[in-house]
Amino acid sequence: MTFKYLVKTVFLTEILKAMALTFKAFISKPVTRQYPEEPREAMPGFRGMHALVRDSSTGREKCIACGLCGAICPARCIHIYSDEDEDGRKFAKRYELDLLRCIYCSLCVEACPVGAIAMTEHYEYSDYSRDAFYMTKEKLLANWDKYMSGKKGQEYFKKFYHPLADDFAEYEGQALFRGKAAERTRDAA
Amino acid sequence: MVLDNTGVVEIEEGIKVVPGANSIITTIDKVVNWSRLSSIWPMTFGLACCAIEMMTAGSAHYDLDRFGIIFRGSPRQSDVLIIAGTVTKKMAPVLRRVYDQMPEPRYVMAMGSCACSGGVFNTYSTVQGGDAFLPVDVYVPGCPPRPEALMDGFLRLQDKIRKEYFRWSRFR
Repeated sequence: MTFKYLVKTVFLTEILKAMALTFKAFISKPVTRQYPEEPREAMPGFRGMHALVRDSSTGREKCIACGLCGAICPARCIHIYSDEDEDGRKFAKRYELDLLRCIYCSLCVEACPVGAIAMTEHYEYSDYSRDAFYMTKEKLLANWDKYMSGKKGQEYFKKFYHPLADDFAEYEGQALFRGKAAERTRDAA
Repeated sequence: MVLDNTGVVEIEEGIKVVPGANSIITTIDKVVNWSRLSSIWPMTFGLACCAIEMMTAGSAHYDLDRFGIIFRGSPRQSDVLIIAGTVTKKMAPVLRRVYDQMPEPRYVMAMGSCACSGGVFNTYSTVQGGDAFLPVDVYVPGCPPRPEALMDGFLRLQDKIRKEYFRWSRFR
């Protein structure tokens, strides 16, 4: 039995050390974030609720209804019903997304050849019924206006979206869907 | 609003009330609802990875205790059942039994994609959503939801409890 051990046992120095730590924690600033009052900013590239990109030149959605997002989706939560407009271009008549099935992997964003779908930083949207989570095209476009409008939306694709070609629609030999309306115009010409 | 000789007021077509009769009930409602919403005790029932986020929400950085939400180990003491994770068909009867053991008033929160709708597991062994066998009050989407999202779900549940009417006494 050494002298040091004797001091340790008689004067209970270890308990005093522990109490010093407790007192230090007592006077230091608490780590708790007061959530509803001071919400925490999501990290850049956070995968929250989806948004369909609104093309600023046309005012419509960028989506060409190719169906790649629905094909790659592991949860099979994207349903696309395509249609043809007057020019013979394919567009999504109905673009529906079940947020309750979605697992927020952002594979749809990576798969999209034209950068038509994005993921916003909005994640607090609990609700009382299932209906609120069934996103339609209008709701998704409204999401873009609400959360990704302006500079934020442009920077999103610069940072987190890497398409195979810079402008997918323009590259040589690109097969574009023309459909029956285009066939009609071709036959007429 | 039509007043006749009996003092009964017609507030809507076919609905007649005696003015002032509700003032006692609504006052007790306010007190009961306030006491219920400020001490929601959830049942600790983690099923999958969502339980990790649930634990984080209870830890010091997020601190659910601020809302009076204290995790309990027994269904007899709890008010909310959080379905946190994938519900398999093997686990569903157990979850149902836990729910049946909880005293009224009881609420159910579905946390995460799997508990809400089955999520990515559209398979033979998974229940497609907790609402297949439990009355879910609040859906919290996310895979898994952030602790803030779970707190948002709790705040929404508090709003729901606040709006409850006459859910006390033996005549409810």
